[in-house]
Amino acid sequence: MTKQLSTHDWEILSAYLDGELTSQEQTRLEHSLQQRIDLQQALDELRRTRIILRSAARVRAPRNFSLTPAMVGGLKPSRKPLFSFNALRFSSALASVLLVLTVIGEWFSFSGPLATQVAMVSEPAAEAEFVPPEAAMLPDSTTNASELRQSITEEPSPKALMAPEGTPVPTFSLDAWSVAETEATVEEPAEGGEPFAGAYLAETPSAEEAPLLEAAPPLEEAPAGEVMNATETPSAEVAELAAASQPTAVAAADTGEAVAVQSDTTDPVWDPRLPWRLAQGVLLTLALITGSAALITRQLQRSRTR
Amino acid sequence: MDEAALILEAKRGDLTAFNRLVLAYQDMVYNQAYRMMGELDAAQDATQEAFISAYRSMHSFRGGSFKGWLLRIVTNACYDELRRRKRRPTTPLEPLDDDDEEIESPHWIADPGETPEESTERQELSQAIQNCLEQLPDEFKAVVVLVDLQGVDYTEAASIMQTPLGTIKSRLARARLRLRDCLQGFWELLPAAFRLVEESKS
Repeated sequence: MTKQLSTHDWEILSAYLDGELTSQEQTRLEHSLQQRIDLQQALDELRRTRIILRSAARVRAPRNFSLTPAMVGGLKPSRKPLFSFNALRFSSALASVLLVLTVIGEWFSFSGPLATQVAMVSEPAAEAEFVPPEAAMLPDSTTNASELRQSITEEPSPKALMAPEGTPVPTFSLDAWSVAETEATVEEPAEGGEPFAGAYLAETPSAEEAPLLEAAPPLEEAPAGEVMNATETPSAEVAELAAASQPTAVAAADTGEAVAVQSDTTDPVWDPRLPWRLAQGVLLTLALITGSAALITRQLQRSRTR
Repeated sequence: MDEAALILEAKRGDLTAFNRLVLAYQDMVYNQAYRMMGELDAAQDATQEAFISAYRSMHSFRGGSFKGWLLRIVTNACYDELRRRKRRPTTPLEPLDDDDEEIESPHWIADPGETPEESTERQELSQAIQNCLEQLPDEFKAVVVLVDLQGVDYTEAASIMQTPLGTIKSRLARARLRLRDCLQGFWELLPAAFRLVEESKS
């Protein structure tokens, strides 16, 4: 008969024996007990079981379990750990969140919609900074240099044409730059044995060098004869133009003697993603270290409380 | 010196103060271990290990019931050992004598004040209870030992087991239901006077 009782009925009866029911539950159960014999029988059986269990002999400790200094290794109770599990767990989570944010930020900066806007704005500057591929493709032929010089005089840049006579030209055409670069390469084995007498290297053009560009006369003003002799005695103006147009190298001419410096185009280019990558590396390392430390701390704490 | 003062001294590393706490609670801790493990040697190991763990983690005791805190430590120690044994079940459940024979009526639970007949019946009942406890799942066993043998209330049992109160209530009811079937027939072994007193209490 008692087999028909549900698990919930047994739980109620068991809690009733221990006085763990609320007054409402107790009243309801006592009302049911008066009407149902199966409940009374089940309660009796549980009560007897409980009495038998409580009659179990209390076992006395067979020996003294006092600790000796040797047992505890002469150590005092462990101090509170330096880093709590919660603090380490929080640090790991925070580092992980920041890592995700930096990845998203990098994506927005270099691959997302922001990147296209930035690229559109900075495109002209990038063109001005980088070495034109045409310069690298120009061979070391002196005849080509003279031909190009001719092309300079024949096809001046629009700004140079528009500028009044004697007005400094702040910008120059790609062709002019190419000629200067070509000449710098070609004139290196200049006669006289002092090819680098007036040459110096500068990482960035100084403020005093700026006027050199402004003082340069328009290219179309150069006499044709001088232009044709460019392979033998290059003009100082062209060399100065080359120096001003190349931020990493300055070629200066001294008393018409050709001096050239091969610009160092192999300098490492600054990668704007580098700070993002560094931050991501640091955050990833931090997340891994703190996460591992949190796990170890939790294991240690558990083993101590066992 | 009262318990609170002993605990304070023990937290500062005073081993003597801690050992006074050991003396006060070692029977309780050992009983829990014995009823959980069912063996003398394993119970002694668990008890010793529990006291060493307790001393080392005194800093984590935040007040409240020191008895409950110790019971939690020894119960966890028994859980670990029982889990380990389930992976490598080679240890006999019955204690062995000097000739490696199983002891059916362990002498260490004998009460010197009893007559031989009473002692025999009592040992028989105690062994029967232990055998029935062995058949329970570890979680059920821990709850029923805490509540019915150690006299802990539901709230403290929930704290010791780190389990919700409803789970304690449910596990205890199911454990008692299984023990009811297992212990049928042992009611008559209880002394008549004891039965009357207990039934009147209930």
